[in-house]
Amino acid sequence: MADSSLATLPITGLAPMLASRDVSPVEVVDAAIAQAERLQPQVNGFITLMHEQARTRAREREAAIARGEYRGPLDGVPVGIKDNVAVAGVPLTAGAKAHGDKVGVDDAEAVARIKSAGAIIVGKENLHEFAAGGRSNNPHFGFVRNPWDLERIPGGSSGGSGANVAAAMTYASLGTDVGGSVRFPGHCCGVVAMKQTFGRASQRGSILTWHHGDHVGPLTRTVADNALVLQAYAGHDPLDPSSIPVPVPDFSAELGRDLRGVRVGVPREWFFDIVTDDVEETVQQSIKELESLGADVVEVRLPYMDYARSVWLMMAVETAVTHEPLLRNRRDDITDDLVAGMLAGQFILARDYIKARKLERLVKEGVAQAMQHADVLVSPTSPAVATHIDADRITIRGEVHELALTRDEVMGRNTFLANITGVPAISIPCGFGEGGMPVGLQLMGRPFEEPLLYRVAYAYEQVSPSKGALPPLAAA
Amino acid sequence: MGISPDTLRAMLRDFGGIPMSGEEFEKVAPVVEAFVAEFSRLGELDLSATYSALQLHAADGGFSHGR
Repeated sequence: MADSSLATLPITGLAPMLASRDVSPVEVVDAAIAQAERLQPQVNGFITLMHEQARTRAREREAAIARGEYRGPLDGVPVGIKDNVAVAGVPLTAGAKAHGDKVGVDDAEAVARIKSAGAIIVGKENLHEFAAGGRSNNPHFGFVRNPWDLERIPGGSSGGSGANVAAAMTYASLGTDVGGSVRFPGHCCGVVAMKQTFGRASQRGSILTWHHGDHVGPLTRTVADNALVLQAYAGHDPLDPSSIPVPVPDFSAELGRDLRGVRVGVPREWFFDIVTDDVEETVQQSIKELESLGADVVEVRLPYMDYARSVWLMMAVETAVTHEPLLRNRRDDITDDLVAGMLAGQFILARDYIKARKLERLVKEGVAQAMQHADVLVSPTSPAVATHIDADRITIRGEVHELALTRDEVMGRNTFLANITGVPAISIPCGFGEGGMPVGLQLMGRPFEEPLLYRVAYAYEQVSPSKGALPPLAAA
Repeated sequence: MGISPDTLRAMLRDFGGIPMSGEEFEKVAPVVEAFVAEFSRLGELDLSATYSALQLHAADGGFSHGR
């Protein structure tokens, strides 16, 4: 089998071959490395390549599997880790020069768990500086390029993770999502991206900005693969107070079930107010497909959405505190725009912060009420396809929007709700828009109902025009 | 509403914030102004009887604003 053919398999296709020893982890890792050696110069999805460590680990897993110690579907599978998530002994930059020569001391809990499941880390992935933006135009480690069009952004902040999965340099990647940073690259790069319920998994060992709304999240090429990765790292971490001691279900259990009786809610407010024609058309077609698959499509109300961004702005306060040592001692190493955003957080009044916390409760209650009438909510993941890499504004239906994090961040307007409410949300490829760029369909669910999200996503995936689509450079 | 760099300079001095240069005050002022504008819209809501998202209360599981 040619290298790119092996590299482009889904995990569900690869795992039986590894289990039966038809292929070895060494061959699989070599295929991923060959793909990375060919495409990293174009895509720049990695900051640190770990090819030698990966080959060593692959030989260990090859021997273990030969001894009958196969650990399950991630055993021997190459994965990437966003470079704000720690891997022991490997540089940990968060995409920021200001972190200097910081190295991961211990594996982040999510990393430890997927390694325990047999996954093989092949590299630390490029991202927006400090994971604080949606473009991944990193001034210190180079811009990440979208594999579908190298002149466009891959989204962010987990841009390297989305690009690497799309380009088949990894079978899966772990990103982080504080306002859409896993789902937006999923949308831009045409891959499946999950932000599980807040508390479903450990945050420990990641350099996060807003611990109240940040999550590790998996990016994969298929829904079934995504469920396997979440399965490996989900669960209570007694050393992380943000994780919640609830049972971990089988996330793959409902894959293949039909959608009869599932109520798909289309929000009347906000999510379709600002959207390009191509994205709206693609998503509306997807909603029709969900209906044709047996789902009941209903309209739902989401009160307070016009105010909800204030809740997300609480992150600005935490950003100033989280990065205070760097702002005091390494400020010259941080991009000017980020410095301004970080410093601004120190001027938010406690009164406004508390108002935002109260509003947060109202927003959560509004979502809970909507979820009385619908089992999942559907929307475009983002209002437009991936923008050009040097764009600093976008025009949507005649209205100009700045692509600036601290002002009108239009590209993230549909994703942050899941962060401020903690509900699970997944982005799945649902077709192509302007310039042949991927479009993502976002599904949000009730807390801890990831199996239902995966069920709906999987059912849709089977009829999606994006099913099996890869950027041409991935399969070359 | 306008937030002047002088206002921020005074806040930083009197409340002991993270030091900033003159140029940084100029860059930060419009960002803070955008934050303030966003938060000021919350004045349209009566949040007095709404529980904070962080606070638990005996009747949790119901709704916090009187329904």
